[in-house]
Amino acid sequence: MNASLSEGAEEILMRPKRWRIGVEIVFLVICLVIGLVLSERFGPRPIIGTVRFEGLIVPPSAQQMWNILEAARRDPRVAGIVVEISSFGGDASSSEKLYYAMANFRQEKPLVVVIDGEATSGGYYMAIAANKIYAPAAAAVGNIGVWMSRPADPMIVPDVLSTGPYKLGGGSRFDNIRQLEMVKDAFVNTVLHERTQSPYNPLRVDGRVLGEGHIYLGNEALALGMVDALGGVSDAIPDVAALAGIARYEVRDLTEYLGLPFQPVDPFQMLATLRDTLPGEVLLLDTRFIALVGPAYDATSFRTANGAVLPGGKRP
Amino acid sequence: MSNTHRSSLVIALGILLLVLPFAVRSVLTEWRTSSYHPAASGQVELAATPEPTPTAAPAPREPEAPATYLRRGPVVVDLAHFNMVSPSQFQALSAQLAARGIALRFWTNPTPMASVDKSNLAGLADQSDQLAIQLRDASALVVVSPLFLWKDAEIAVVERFVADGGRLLLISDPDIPEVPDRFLRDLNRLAERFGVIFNDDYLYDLSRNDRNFTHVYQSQFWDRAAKLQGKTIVFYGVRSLSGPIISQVRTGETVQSSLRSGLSGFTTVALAGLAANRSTGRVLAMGDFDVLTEPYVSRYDNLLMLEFVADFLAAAQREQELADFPAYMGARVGLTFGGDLPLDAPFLAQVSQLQQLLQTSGRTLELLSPADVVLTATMTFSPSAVPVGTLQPPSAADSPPLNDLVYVASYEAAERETTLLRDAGIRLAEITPTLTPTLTPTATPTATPHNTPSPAPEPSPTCTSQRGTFALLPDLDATPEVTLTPSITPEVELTPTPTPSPAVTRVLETSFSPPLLLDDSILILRRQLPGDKQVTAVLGSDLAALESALDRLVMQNFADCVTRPDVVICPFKFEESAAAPEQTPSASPTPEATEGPAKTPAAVETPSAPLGSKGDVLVVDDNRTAAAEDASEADIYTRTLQEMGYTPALWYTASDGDPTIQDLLGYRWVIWSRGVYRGEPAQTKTLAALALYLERGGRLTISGRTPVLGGSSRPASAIADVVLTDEVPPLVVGLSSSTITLPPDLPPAVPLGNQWGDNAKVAMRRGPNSADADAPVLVALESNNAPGEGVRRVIILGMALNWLSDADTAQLVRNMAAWTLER
Repeated sequence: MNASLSEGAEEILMRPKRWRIGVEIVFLVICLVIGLVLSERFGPRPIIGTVRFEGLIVPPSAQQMWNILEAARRDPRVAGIVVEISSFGGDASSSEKLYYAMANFRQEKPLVVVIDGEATSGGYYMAIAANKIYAPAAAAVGNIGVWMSRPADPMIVPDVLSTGPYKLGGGSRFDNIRQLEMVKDAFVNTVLHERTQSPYNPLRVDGRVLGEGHIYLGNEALALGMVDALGGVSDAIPDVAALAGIARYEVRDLTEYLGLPFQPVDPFQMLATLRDTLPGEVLLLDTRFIALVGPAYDATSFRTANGAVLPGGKRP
Repeated sequence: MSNTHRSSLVIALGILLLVLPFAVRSVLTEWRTSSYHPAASGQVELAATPEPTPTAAPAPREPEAPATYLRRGPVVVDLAHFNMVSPSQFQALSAQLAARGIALRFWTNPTPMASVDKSNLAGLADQSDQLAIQLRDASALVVVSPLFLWKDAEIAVVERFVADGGRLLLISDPDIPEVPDRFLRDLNRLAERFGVIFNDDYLYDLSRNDRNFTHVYQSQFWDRAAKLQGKTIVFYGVRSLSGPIISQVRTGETVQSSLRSGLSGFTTVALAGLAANRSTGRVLAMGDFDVLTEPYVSRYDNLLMLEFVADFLAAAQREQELADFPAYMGARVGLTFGGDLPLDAPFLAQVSQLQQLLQTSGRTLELLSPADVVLTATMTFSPSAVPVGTLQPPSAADSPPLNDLVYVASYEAAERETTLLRDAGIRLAEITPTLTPTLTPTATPTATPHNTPSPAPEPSPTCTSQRGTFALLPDLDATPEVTLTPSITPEVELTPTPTPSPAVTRVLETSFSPPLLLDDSILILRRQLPGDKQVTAVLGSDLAALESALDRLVMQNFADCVTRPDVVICPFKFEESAAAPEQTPSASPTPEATEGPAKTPAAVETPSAPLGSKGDVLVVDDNRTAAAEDASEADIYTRTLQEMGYTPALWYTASDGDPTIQDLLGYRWVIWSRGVYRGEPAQTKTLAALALYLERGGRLTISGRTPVLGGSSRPASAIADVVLTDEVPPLVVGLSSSTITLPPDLPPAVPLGNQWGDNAKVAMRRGPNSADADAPVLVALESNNAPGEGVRRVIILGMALNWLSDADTAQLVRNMAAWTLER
């Protein structure tokens, strides 16, 4: 009897208790909940990146921006970006480079531009690549056109021998004039192409008017269809999310996220760049910048279009 | 399963469930399929075919050379206000003007641009004088977008130029930097004087342009530009014009202004000018300069625009005045001389410079014989001589007509030979002053009185000299000299002291001015003659004046002259003619080596002044070595001569240096006075000048104890008395005694030389009580010069004049004057 009682007791003792199973289940559930909560809180979410382009569009600044755009485009976590533009343009080829980079990005991920104060000339050229353009009412928008130093006639350089009449200068005076018009036409046609297709606020002005080079306020630009809405970054982010089809996301500064800093070109370096501009080099540049600092390029201070005062001081 | 195993499994599951959501979320985030599907944006059609190289078109035919004998006045282009244009931009305009026989000349600023304060664009120095010189022979002025402001004086010069018939082209191009916007567009300071304003805008056309919105077509052509209607004219950066102007070119309806919004039909080329400053129709204003330059001038019909501008500039007709000489003259200019002017080397040099001046302006100068020139009633002249500088006479068919004559003559010759002065309302006149009281010299009786005092001189009026006014008073206390020794009375025939000639002033009387002193004026006048001829007369009182007048004409120096359209009156100073530097004569005559006056050295300047052109007498007070207490002998000469009615000129070597030959030649008689001065050796050039003066017929008197010439090499010695001789009675007539004792303690005097040649006579010698007794004291030389050169008369007095008594002094001076001048 003792042996069977021991065996029975042992069997009874070895059989799990129902309450123990419940505890285990509760434990597992709690782990799952905690896991969900933690993943909700700390788990990766799609990123809507923000980046600010400021200042002159020259090869150094254009390359930095291009790097950021390319990295963001390749990064699977980046669901879309908001580009904040505060620029009066720069050289034509750099401006076009950024337009193509942004247009290329737009083909894969949504891109919304927010004009911060000024997007004129080359700055607007960048902006038209976006899915949507936001601008505050008082922003400066437009200035579509190009300029360059007055072309000269081909000359013989005494200590240089070339093989053709335009080897040294690239073309005759009228070739240069014609090419200037071609760059302007390209700018105008691109604006027409992009803005007439806007699903939000298509363009309502013809190319001839655009080619006059007006600078419009944000609300004027809205009326003409040059921008899509009045607003800022806080308006642009949800639009990017909607375009991306994501409900949950995080907003990250792309320069920090990607580890690619963006350094605007120093203002006085901008002046040096302008001073060193090659004859015949085409610029998409709001010349009010030049008027602000004076023809001698040694102004003690100057004010940008949005009223910000940049530090002055005579520089060599 | 043991409890341990079960517990482990549960824990593992818990951990898995803890991590699983995180992992799933990560995977889903990474491999999330985006719901973003942008529409294809397509490509912008931007491809453009480059323009093919254009087929070369024939260049415009070269214009024929203008069939004119003389190039017209040039077109002056202002670059002196640092206009931001280059001379090469005027190539096309220059070619057009050359085809019309007109040159292009740039007026530049000699100051380097780097030295100019560009922060003060109103601070450029006034250049009106230089501008006046530039415009003197110009037919037109071109001003393109000056950088520095024009001064009021400069603008006034332009106004006068345009009023005279000159043309003005004003261009303000928005492409060319001008005065910054914070100033009024500078060109308007000049332009508004002629009624045109350049607006501070630029014109553009967005719908129809030549490759750029600032390259605008011109649509309407008016007035003188109406012939351009239908042509394609394009301006490359142009501004609009306003004001009381006559539009020549206007833009079309599609052309807009950067400033004048809402308007169209802007004037871009206009004729301007105001009646108020006689500039109507003589100003052309344009808002673009590029259309006149390459490569723009070769596009479309722009060359016609350039020709329009060139025609405007070439149509200038200046109203040339005499002061514009030789701009009003034709290609051939004749030159003739009036009277019997002796042409010397300096004068011929002036003629040569005149010829060079004419040649630089494309003219020839031909010498005409007086027989070919009649400048009186019929007023004709014609060439018969070969033009100077030509190898062979030009054929009549090739030569331009000779319609211009330069006539050089003295006033007298001009009045005698021509009617030029009369026709110009000018005549020669003489002004004779009335002398009061009239002085009459007292006659000296033949017999020598022993106790007759010297006649007291008449009281003299007050007279003046260069040193001021002084009163002449007789020495009433003087004790007359009484000679007790037997007198040696020369048998002379007394003649009354000749009546002195009153001083006559020769003047030019004109209808437009007060009388002008003949000797102080030179006259240049122009007169039109029948048959499109004209004569430019250069008149003066003597050769020196004519040289000065020719020099002014050649140098176009009329700054200090009174100018009328056809008459120029300039001052003439005798010293002007002594322009040649004094040269050291090759010979060095010294008193001891010279028996008579020194010979003329070879290197002495050639005098040109006619003898006596300035007056009769020059008294040279050689007071360079005068002590303060020394009395002036020159004053005695001056006073006495004035009493006689002469107006001697005074010269002081201490202040004026030695007179040159030019100075001497102005007078018929030169008295070189040293009196009691200790004197010093004369400069060689002075001796040479005196010698040349004598050769030219001058009359010379040397006076003093150390005479400038004529003294011997013996040391100075005392003169106690002098003895008159009978060799030159006129010189000693009326002196108190045949032997005159001089005051004691007189300073020594240099004895005169003994050998004077056949032409010399000794009128007075040292007396027996004097050292170097019997040495000449007063020597008179008279000899003939070359034919036509007059008689040479020299008096040398080897003592101070005032050692004699006042009476004898005055008498001796009167005798000298009579012997020197009145014979």
